[in-house]
Amino acid sequence: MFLESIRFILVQNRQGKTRLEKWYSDYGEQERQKLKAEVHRTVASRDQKHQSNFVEFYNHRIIYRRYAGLFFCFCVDTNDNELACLEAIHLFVEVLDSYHGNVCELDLVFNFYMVYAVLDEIILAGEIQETSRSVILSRLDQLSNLE
Amino acid sequence: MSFFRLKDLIRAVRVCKTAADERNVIRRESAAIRTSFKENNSQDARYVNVQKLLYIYLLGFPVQFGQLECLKLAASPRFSDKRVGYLGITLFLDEKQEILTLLTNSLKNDMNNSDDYIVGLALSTLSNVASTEVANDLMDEVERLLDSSRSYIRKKAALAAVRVVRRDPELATPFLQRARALLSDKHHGVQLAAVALITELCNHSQEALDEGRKLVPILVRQLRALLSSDSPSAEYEVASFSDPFLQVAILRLMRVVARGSQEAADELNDVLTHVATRTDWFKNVGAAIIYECAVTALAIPSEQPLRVLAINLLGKFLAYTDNNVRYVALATLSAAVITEAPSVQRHRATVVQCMRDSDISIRRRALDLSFALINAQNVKPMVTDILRVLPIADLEFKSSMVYRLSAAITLFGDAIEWRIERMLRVLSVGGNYVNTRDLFKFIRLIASEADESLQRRATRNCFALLERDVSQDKMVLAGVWLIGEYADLLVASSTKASTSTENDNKIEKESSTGLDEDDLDILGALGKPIQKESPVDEDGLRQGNIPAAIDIDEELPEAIAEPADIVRLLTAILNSSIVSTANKHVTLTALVKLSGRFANQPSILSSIRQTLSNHKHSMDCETQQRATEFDKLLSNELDSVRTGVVERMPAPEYADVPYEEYVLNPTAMRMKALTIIKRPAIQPADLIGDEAASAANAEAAAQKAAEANKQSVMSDLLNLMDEAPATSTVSTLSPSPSTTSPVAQQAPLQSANTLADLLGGASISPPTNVSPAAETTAAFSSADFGKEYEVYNSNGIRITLTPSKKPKAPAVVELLATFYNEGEVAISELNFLVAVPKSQKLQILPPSGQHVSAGSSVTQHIKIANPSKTHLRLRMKLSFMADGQNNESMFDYSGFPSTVV
Repeated sequence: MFLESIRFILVQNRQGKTRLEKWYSDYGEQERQKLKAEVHRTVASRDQKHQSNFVEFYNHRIIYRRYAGLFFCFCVDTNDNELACLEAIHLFVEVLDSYHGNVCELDLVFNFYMVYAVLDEIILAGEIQETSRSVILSRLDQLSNLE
Repeated sequence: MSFFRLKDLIRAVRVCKTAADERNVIRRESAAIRTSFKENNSQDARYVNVQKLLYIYLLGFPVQFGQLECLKLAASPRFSDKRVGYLGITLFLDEKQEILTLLTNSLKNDMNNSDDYIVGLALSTLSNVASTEVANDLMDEVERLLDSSRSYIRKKAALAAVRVVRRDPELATPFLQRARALLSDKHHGVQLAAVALITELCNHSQEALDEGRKLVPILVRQLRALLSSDSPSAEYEVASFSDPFLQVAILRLMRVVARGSQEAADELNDVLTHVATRTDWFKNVGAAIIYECAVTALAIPSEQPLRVLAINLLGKFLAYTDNNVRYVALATLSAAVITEAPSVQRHRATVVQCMRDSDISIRRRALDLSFALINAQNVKPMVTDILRVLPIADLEFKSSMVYRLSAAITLFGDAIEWRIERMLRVLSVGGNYVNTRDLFKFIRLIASEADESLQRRATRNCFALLERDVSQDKMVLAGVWLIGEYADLLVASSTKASTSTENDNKIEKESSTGLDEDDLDILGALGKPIQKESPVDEDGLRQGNIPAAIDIDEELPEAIAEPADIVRLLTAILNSSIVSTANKHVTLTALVKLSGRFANQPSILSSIRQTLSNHKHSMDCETQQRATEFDKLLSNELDSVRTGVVERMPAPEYADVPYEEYVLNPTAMRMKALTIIKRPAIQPADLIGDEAASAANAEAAAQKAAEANKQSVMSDLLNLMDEAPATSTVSTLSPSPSTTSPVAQQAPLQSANTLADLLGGASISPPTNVSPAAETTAAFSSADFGKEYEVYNSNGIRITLTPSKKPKAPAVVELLATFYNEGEVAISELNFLVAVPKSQKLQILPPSGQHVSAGSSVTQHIKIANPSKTHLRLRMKLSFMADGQNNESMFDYSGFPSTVV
């Protein structure tokens, strides 16, 4: 079994409520619950100002970034480029922001299925799929016209 | 009751005040959805219900009952239905569930749909959930869609192919043929997906890697196109960098294909230099590109100037204000220090600075790197720098720091005075963290030194240090032992003559150096006022507020004591509440030794006895016993025995276990598993490099020896078969060539194997039909695989490795590591790391668990790609928590038969 470069993606708020979860590697239901709790504990307790955005997590590394009250966490292989991953998080958030027009946590709560659609246009199979904001956004517009 | 709409449900959950309310709402809603599933078969109702289930799932409640409904919804012809249905499938299902096979059909239909959007949706779903079976069933569709006219479909198909190959590497071939076309695609997204696909393929097979090397010119061309400013595609620009994601991905693929190929490395040299020099790194994006470029430059056999450039760029990162950038730089430098030591050394000052960073993970890395940088030339400044940090270091780092400091001082310090002085500083600051072994090494070092001035100085330092502070456990132990042992050296030289236990020679020697010592003493006496000034409590010890650590630029305080002062100090230590009981036992012994050193001073003897009698009623049994026994020893009737008992100890004679140099750079194993390959021409004198070289030599020698041996064994055997019974074969075997290298151990092993095999064959066929060597090798290699080899057994944990091999990957040895917990307590946080010589490539999969309860076991798979078929040599590092204790050990194993390659 070979493992994805991005193992999973979690978006959680400061209280630890998960707003988005995406598992690219094979994790069972119980493991998922455990990981969600642990990621929150690991990430939320860190000093947001003085610490790096990377934290060791078992044999992997979590790259996270906080936007307002939300933590966007990507779990990646230790050999991955952490800085590029950080950039990917930013791209994701930027697209969400443009798509919803100044995105906030409530948008993610009420439109959670759209968030998944956005994510599927950016990252697939644990790899970055598309990096152009305009391409992604025009694609998303086409998709929402179909609904 | 049901809330009917998703928005209503979300609102209802949001107004819940307590978790119990929330549970109630969800329970009622789940029940309603269940009923609705049973009663209502319309897709509209299903659409709403699955949407609600998705929300419920996100809240962390069980929704398994909805799995089948998701599949039904996905079968609907409407796009919006499919979308929600597939989303449910990707979230609710994991790969192990049988229900996934039901998905195959609907995915297949959708991938053949005429609507591009639906095809895209099916590809996304496939990329997200495909199991091995699904991957096998749908790979034809994926392959076909790679040729789609829409870039949108092509890039998704390429990523779906990545998933397919990950789940079943044997499906790689058709994708490999399309790699070139995909890579040359005009669309960035397709290029990016193609790069990911090729990277994946190259990781799986040598064939793909050879193919990948042919793509190097295309990669170079594309990277150059991204770098040239005249054709920027604005839509892919991030902070004025042209598609940094693609740049990073291409750089990474370059690393994969050029690893181990000097030719490819030469082709890449220019473009890498270009990236490294032209990219502006003042933004995160730029740093990401440079970082990837530097790692690639170091990981392939590139030319020296490029490697130095890479190190210098990483060095510059260290001074950067962004924590993230410093973090990656430190991690990479730690790995690079193995081969690029001289270039990394240049950034020492910055690394040292990072030990005081505000981010703990950066501090940890900076510490690791600092230790890794220590060598014989810079040991003095480096140890000084680290000692400066030690008092303010995080508690969790201290024991490893102290351990590595001891190792560094012992390994690289030449002057013994310096070593003792530095160790005393380590003890005085980190005495609570020094492990017993290091402490004994230190004491042994002092005790076995013939030059008495060293012992005098050390003892005087200890006395002064203990007067200041007794809070450091091992400092107390070492200090008290030294004071007891060398109390006669501690007192001013005028009272030396009173030492009755010393023989005349020694006294003469001392008095001959006496003058110098007096001068020294005057200097040393400066240390004395400290004890007078410092406010002392009734015990005569400072206990409450621990004095600040002695500044590293200050001399260690030295004190000359009167015998009465010594007794006073030891008594105070005995009465102290912060000194451990074990240390008090040693203090009692030290006290009684004083009676020998000052035998002709009755006042001292009586105060010693006074102290001893105070402890005769101690609550601690051992203390009580020692006090009573020692008191008896000091009584008049035992005068004749006493002198012998309290005499100075001879220097210990047991063999010293030397420090291993890798203690200082375990980071290379733990950090980035970055295989750094150098050009063969410039072999540095580094740890792993040497090892690989010696491994290769040993291997060659072993082969020769084994060949020679095989022949002789065969001829012996042929002779034997004619006349002697099988039992005597042992005696013909035993006189194997007795060389001292590992060859000696391997050769008999191999010959034994050969013999066993030949005997096995001989029983069926006559000995003249002994098969060619190749066949015998094959025969016993199969026997050597599948066996368990014990590599480690201590601390209640036993590790065995079971090698195996799959026919489709002849160059890959798969090792199954099994960890048996044979101790009494459960083991947690098990962490097992392996390193192999550079000629081999390693992949460690996660263990089946990190927690091993007593009597059970866990396993971990390790794959070693060994294309050169060299002997397997493993260096392993094990760490685990047992009984609240953190255990760590490092060990080597090379005991596999040479057939296991």
